[in-house]
Amino acid sequence: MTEADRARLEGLFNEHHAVVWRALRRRGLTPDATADATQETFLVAARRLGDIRPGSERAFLIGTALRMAHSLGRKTIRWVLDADMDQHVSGGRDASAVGADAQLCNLVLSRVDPDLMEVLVLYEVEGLTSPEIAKLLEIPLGSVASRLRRAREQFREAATRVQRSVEREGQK
Amino acid sequence: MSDRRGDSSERLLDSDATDLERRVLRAAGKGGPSPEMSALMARALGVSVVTPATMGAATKAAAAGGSAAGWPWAVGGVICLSVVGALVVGGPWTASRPHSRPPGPAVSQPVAPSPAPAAVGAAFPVHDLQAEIDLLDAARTAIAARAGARALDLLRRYEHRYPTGSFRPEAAALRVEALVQLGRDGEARALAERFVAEHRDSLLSERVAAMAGLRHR
Repeated sequence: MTEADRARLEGLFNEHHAVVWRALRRRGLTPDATADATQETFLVAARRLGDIRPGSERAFLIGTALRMAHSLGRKTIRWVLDADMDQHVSGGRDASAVGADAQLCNLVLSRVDPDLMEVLVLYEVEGLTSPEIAKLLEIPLGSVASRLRRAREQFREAATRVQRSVEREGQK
Repeated sequence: MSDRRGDSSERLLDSDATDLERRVLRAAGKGGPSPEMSALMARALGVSVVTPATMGAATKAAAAGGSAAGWPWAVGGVICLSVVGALVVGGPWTASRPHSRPPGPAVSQPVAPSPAPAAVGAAFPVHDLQAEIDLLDAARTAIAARAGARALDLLRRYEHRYPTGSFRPEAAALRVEALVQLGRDGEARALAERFVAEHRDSLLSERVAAMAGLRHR
């Protein structure tokens, strides 16, 4: 590996390994299995650096991670946001606020249909485009649009319900 | 960051998301391996890992889509944040063990401390919401196992325990499903008609109506 390739891989790892980790965890891999699969994902990236178009690194890495999870028999998607996923972002902010948001996140996203949730997270959170998601999940572009629309409806309904509950409790 | 060509809609974070929706979406973009785990993976790949602080900033920037939107933690929902935050730490989750790999020296980055114990007597019982969800999930599991009577029993417990619960519509929908499963079509239909009348705008209405054989709207 040339020094330029190593530097590019290092940049990819530092910028994207958390998103790869989250994508794998959403597929239900344990933290240890996720560490292995994350590493494998970047090994694939290292071998194919020349094929990764600048600007599409994130989609390439998530796609590789999802195929890896699929090959491990992990086709089921679920929402996970465990405490271990918050450690590196808690510095500098009040830990209870991070925990509160994580709990709210669980409450809301666990109410969204898993297939819809994945599209929602990839689009709204991870910043992928609809064509990228269609390619990753191997579904038609129209299905991405319809899933995203339904995901938003479910997401907003769940968020509204949690909001009302918070307000109701705040009035007690 | 990817460009948005081919996309037909604006991201919620860039449009009309509520404060709570923003908090949830941003929290969904947080998280990743512990610093120790990151360092182990990086070393196995032969690259260097940036410091946790830098990595957090990079992740934050990525999650925010590169915008300078920042973190409006103090805007709106402050009351919610403070009362929720007081309780949720130390919730039902358990932190994973750091992944151990044989090669290389010990990792220098410290492992982040475990969350503090939950505050006693905090005002907002988030765990009750989790308990609500658990009870409904148990009912849903019973229905999936064709144990309609068991599901109805669980749903009765839900309604008794949480008369103003956050997921009463879901509980009612599950009740309709359980009644249909038990062949109690008349009761299911009556309940479904009430549900559709009371929750006309709910996404669940269509499903409930279909389950009970009603024409929706």
